[in-house]
Amino acid sequence: MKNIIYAFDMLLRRPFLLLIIIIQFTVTFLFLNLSLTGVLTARETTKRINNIFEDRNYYAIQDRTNEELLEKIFMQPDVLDKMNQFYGFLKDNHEFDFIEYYDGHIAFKAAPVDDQRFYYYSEPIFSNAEQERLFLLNQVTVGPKFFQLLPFEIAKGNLFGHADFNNNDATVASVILGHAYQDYYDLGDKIEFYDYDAQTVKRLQVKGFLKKDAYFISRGAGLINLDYYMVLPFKTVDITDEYALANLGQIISQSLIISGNVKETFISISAESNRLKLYTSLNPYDLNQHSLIISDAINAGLRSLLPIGIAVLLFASISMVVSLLSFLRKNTKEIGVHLLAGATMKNIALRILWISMICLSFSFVLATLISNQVKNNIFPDFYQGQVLYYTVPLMLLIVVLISVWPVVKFLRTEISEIIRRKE
Amino acid sequence: MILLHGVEKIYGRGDNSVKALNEIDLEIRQGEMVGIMGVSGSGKSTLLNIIGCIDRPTLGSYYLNGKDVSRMNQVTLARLRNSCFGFVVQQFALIDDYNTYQNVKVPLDYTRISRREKKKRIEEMICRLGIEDKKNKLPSELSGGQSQRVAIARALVNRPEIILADEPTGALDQKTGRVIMDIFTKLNLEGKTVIIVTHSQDVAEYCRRIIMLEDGKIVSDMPN
Repeated sequence: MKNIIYAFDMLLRRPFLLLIIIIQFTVTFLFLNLSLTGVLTARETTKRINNIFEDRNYYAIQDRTNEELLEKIFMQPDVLDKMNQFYGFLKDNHEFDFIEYYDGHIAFKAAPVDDQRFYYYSEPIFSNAEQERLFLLNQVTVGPKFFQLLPFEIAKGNLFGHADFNNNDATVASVILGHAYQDYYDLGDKIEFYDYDAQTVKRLQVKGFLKKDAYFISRGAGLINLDYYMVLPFKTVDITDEYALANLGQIISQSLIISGNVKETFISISAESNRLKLYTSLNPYDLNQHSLIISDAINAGLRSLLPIGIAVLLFASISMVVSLLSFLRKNTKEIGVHLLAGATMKNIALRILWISMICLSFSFVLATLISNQVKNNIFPDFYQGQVLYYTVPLMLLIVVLISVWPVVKFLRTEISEIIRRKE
Repeated sequence: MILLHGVEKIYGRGDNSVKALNEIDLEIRQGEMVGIMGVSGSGKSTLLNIIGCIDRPTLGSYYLNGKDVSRMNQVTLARLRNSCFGFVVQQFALIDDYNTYQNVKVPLDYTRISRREKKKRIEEMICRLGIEDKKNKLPSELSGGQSQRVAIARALVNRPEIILADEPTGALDQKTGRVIMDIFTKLNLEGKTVIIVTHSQDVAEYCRRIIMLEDGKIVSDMPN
């Protein structure tokens, strides 16, 4: 204890040196913390993607039809009817599973929650007829097979039933909320939202809450955490309005297909599309592959960060060793007095260790606090807590490594030499 | 009290080695006031360091109060430095950021006595050396004589039996040097053993025994 008090006392009497060391290591630890969060994010992302897909292969429909031709196709007078037929074929066939899904946003006239993670845009937009402020929150629309075939579980309430997908009430729809919404709403609550298409206020009734950590990989948005999403049922009535064509196009391209024989499946999908004179080139888009590309991209980014990280750490460590040696030189007289007064070399060596420990711990805490602020904005939250399992031992290791040289150098010196030495 | 037999101290190794002390046989009894003299490099400070348990002899034996010091470990030596010796070094060696009170307190940080007792001893020592009005002053605010008094107070606060002083008046003018030497004389009269390393004849005159060193050897040892 006495050694810790002395280490503190010595440091507080050299505030400039203390400040320099703390700044250097705060920057180093901040970098380490964020890089490590990135590594863990990549690892956890891969794990969660695997959890979503399990051993099944998921595909999306990729349209490679010539743009000009597509424009002509969609100018046909009966195209909406044909798209409905094509959509009906995808939904009702018995050869493969078609999981209706698309992600987007839902608008509110007043901000219903106060956490940025729920928001599609961080700032409100001005886009309705009265140029009012609209707050856009994350939302996904799903078909009946979404909850049947994907591994999502309900924490409270119920999943969508048949009635939710065939609801004829234009003013109220059911909604399943992500886990994080439990802090704001309860089962049965009615939430007013602004329907863009109808340009009117409608209501959602809370039917259930998803279990925590409901991750999903979307073709458009990548890995998303449904904890911060509102999940709405895809209603057949939606596709009869004037936006039906765009909606159908979106659903067809974003929805998922599970098939035991993907080749045959896409031959039959293309055949149906050709028969209806719609898309001329539809190919399977492997979502497992898509998820691998996402995690590979994260890993590649981190690999390029690694040399910078090592260089930063090395620079800060060398600088700390030099600072410690200079610190010892500046305090030679004081150390000599303590040795004469009864301190052992071990006491002094422990003080050097404590000086490193205090400086680095302080920098570490500071860096952790700053990085937590930064991380909330750039990383999903599944890293929380885990980073400390790695950074705390790493920090202790750095303390030992940077103290070894000054301590060994000091212990090799005779007391008489220290007393004789000029500062 | 202090018995050195065949003590040698060699610094460095091989061709670079230097014999700082050579075949030193010496006995200092309790209550003596001894001056160690010699030119620079004669080995007087090395001898003082060995007596004060700061250094260990390379060869020979050193008995302090009948105990073989040369076989003791670092922790025991540190304890001995704290309890048996009071060090007064050249240039005072006061800690610049500490005031008088804090400087005097340093040796007490390595003893197991109550806080109240520590305070009592510091106050007593500061009073005794006539620097009570300088209690809260930093070394930079003290004169040479006052600084040396603080250094002596620090050396005495643990009530050691032996005072080791290395050129105690080296940084002082003649008049202040005499005042400081009077303090050592008074301490010796109270029963403390005082060993002073000096090359000043004025300082040596206060000592009752003078040991002359030359090239690490005792060339004369006689009463003054």
